[in-house]
Amino acid sequence: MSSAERPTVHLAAEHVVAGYGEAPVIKDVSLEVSGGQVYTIVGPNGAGKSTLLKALLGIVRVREGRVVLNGQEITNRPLEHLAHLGVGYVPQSDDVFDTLRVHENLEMGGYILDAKRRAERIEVVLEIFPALKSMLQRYAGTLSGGERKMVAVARVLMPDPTALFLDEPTAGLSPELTRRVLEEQVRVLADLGKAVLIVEQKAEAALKIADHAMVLVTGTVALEGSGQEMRENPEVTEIFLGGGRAPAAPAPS
Amino acid sequence: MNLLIAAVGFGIASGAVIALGSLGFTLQFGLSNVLNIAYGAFLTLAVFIGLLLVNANVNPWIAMIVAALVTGLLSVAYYQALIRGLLRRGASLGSLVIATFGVGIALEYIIVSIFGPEVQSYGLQGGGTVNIGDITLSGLQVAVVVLACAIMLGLHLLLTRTTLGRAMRATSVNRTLARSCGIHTERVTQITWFLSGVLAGIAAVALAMVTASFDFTLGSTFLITVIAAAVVGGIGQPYGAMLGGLIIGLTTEISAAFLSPAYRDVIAFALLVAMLLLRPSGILGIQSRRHNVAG
Amino acid sequence: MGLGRIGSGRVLGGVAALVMLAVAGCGSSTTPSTSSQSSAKINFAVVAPMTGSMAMLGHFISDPCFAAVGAFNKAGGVLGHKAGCVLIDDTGDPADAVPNVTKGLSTSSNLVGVIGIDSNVAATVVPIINSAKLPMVSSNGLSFFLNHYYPYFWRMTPPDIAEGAATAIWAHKKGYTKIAIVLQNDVGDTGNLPGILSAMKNEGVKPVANLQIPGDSSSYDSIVNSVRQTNPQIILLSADTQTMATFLSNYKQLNNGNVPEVITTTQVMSPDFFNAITKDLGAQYLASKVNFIGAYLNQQTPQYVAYLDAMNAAKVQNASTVAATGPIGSLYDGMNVEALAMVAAGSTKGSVYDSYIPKVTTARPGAVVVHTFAQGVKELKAGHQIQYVGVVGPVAFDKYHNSNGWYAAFGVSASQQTSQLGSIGPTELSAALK
Ligand SMILES: Nc1ncnc2c1ncn2[C@@H]1O[C@H](COP(=O)(O)OP(=O)(O)OP(=O)(O)O)[C@@H](O)[C@H]1O
Ligand SMILES: [Mg+2]
Repeated sequence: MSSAERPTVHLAAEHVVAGYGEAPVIKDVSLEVSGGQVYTIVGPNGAGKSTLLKALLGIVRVREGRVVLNGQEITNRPLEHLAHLGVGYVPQSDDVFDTLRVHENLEMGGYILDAKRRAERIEVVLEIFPALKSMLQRYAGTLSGGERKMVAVARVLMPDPTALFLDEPTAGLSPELTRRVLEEQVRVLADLGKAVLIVEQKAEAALKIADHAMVLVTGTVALEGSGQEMRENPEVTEIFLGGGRAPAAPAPS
Repeated sequence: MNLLIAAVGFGIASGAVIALGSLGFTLQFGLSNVLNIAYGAFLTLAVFIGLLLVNANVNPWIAMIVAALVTGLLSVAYYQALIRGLLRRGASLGSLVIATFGVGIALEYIIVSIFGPEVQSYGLQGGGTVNIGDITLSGLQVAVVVLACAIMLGLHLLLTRTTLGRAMRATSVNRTLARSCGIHTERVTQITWFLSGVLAGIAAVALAMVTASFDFTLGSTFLITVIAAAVVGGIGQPYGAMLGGLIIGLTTEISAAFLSPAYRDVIAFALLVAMLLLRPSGILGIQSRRHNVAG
Repeated sequence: MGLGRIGSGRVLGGVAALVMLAVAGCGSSTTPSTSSQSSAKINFAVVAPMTGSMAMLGHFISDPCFAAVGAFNKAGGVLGHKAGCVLIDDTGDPADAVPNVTKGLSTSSNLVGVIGIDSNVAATVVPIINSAKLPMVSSNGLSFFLNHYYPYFWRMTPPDIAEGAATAIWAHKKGYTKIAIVLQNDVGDTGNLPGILSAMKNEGVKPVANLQIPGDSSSYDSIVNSVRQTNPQIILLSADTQTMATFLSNYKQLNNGNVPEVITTTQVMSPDFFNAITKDLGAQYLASKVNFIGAYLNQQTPQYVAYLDAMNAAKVQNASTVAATGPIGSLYDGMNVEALAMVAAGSTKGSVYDSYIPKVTTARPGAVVVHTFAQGVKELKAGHQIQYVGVVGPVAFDKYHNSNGWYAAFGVSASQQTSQLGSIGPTELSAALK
């Protein structure tokens, strides 16, 4: 599945502890993802999935542990520096610039590029999302949920990032569209050599495209393994169907 | 002579100045979510910097530019020294209002101790009048309206056509997302505070030019009108500030001509209160969002 | 005279004006004599806005107190007591005035008399001072006191309506018939309106425009526009300095440089006003087209010389200009009247000497006319009745303790020297106010 030839991107989190207030939300989480791979994070609501992404990106302060990108430590690095290191991020909410037009959203996605390259990249992402061509002049805030997600993903692809952090990119999408985004976009992106770290509620669809996955429960790794293993692990199904109970981890309070 | 049309002319003339002042105020709110009450003192400061230069026989338009640039720099310094730190410490909107109010008073105090409390003037009166149909304006007012239109057009182009302008709007609406795109939002914010200081400077000097007489209370008095225009248009919205300025200018002048002139300035408050009751986000405000710099 | 007019309407600026006052040099009155605990010392209270946007007014009103107590002390004090001044801040805001003045009266020691007060707070504060049984002399012109009786309240100068009548009479004397009235919409300035209208009616003239305008607006374009449509020969204009300067500049701009003559009041007669008008309309306009109406102070009298000496001795800034304004002169007279009434009564107690106030001012056979405190004391000691005639001339109180008096019209030269142009007497005024 991976494109082995080119120098590949590598992201690692080592024993990360992070959170907002006194008690940490993320308690000693490690993960590793390389170019060509999809790493899926699933878990019940409030488990800390979004917080984990934010910690890796330096949005939420990491208190212990470290984050390493391509051998370079990026723990608590200012977020604006990461774009230059090839990191792209689609947040769970507020994932577009509402008061900017769609084409302006794309241009802001390509902020770090020069004007010529930016124009080229707009052509490229519009080929990936042809539906956007007809809504370039609309304000992103007026789009439907699915259209918004398209803009959000198109925006993040603008600078051709090598490491992608996607926080529920299919939220609000129909099952069919979810399948297509995951299989035809996310999986393909990984196949193009990018490292993809994706948080998903829709565990089954998300595990299907995963090379590796974890189940996060109350900020700790409850289960972890290859995509295949996780899909076949009955406990995973139980966590989701059984109301978020993880036998291998303390029950969420 | 038609009094209504004449009043519309005056309304446009005063609305142009209000719009400029309101733009600076609204940009600060849009980018930093700060109701900067000290803005009034910055207006006064610009007027007195202009006075220093005019008294030294500097051409008033050059004085305006210099005063605007100096005010812009002071505005950035003020942001760096005070506002940024308060925001980092998570200061609430309310405590920021109080802090900026305090700075405003201190600044006004300094201005008075340097320049005195007397009524001042640039002494530019006496230029001819321009008649366009029933509209009679002084040459100075026409020049100020033209200048304000040029600045608003320039700002429009900046916000919609340039990467910097879009980055300002992006930072305003979604700072985290902007940062994830590689935008140095801190620098964008500083530039915005510079721009807002420049706008304050131009508006204040233009106001002093056409008002003729002023004293150290110019800024704090004008601030009320500026805030009213910003709120009426939708706080944080540049086009709202422009529209709000025009609305306040027109309604005050028309009401002065047709209702009792004594209530001229009450109209601005009445509009402000009405807007807060009926549509708190202002005419151009986006109801679901708290604030932003729209495009 | 509407003392409540200076700077009113500047709400936000008020706080800063407070700070301003602390710094901007306030001449003698920044050093109020704190009431010493020595039992021999008596204090006069100056009730006026000491902070806020009208702080300048408090500063002016304090000057005659410091000048007068200086003269008393030089003459051996009042009944042997050394005299001082205590400043009580009425803030110019009725809401703050009541607690401030109540506190001020109760915490200041040995208070024997009061001067002062601006129009904005007079109606609420005068009753408080009255119930404290402290005689108060005032230059306030509020119409309210024309028919409300307070035994301890004495008005040294004619009320605002008389001032209004005087401005209209002066316009008539100058031969003008197309008269526009433009007044700032506060109690001090609009108080002149009934008098203006009454006098004009008496002359059979209708105003071509009659408008009230807000203070300190950034533009008066629409208002100016409707006034200039009526082609007035003269404008009776009463407002604060900045409002007048802005109004007139707007007029000049919109009317191709032609601004009609203006009659205003001595309230604004200060270098600040002269400079503002000179800068916007030219020294020529100021010198040839602006007249000021105010209480008549004859500057040629010996009492005026003594008054000016006392003002200078108290180190009042711009003493000769400040002294020339009616309200200040009348307050100085009021201080003398209170002190002489104490001497005549043999007591500094308000409830005792209050009834002696008319006894030292009313003209009557056998009363020796005196012009200063020292003279008065001398005559009283010699067992004579006295009539004090001060810088504002003789005063006669009616049953509401109002007095009438003379008005004068003043002009100012391009070099900012003021001069008296003519006068308007009580007979003319009462005819106009019928
Ligand atoms: N800004 C914040 N300040 C304080 N606590 C927060 C903040 N954001 C999230 N939390 C808390 O941290 C915990 C983890 O939240 P997080 O958003 O990471 O969960 P999640 O796994 O992404 O949930 P979901 O599936 O609902 O998106 C929750 O208890 C949440 O209430
Ligand atoms: Mg989440």
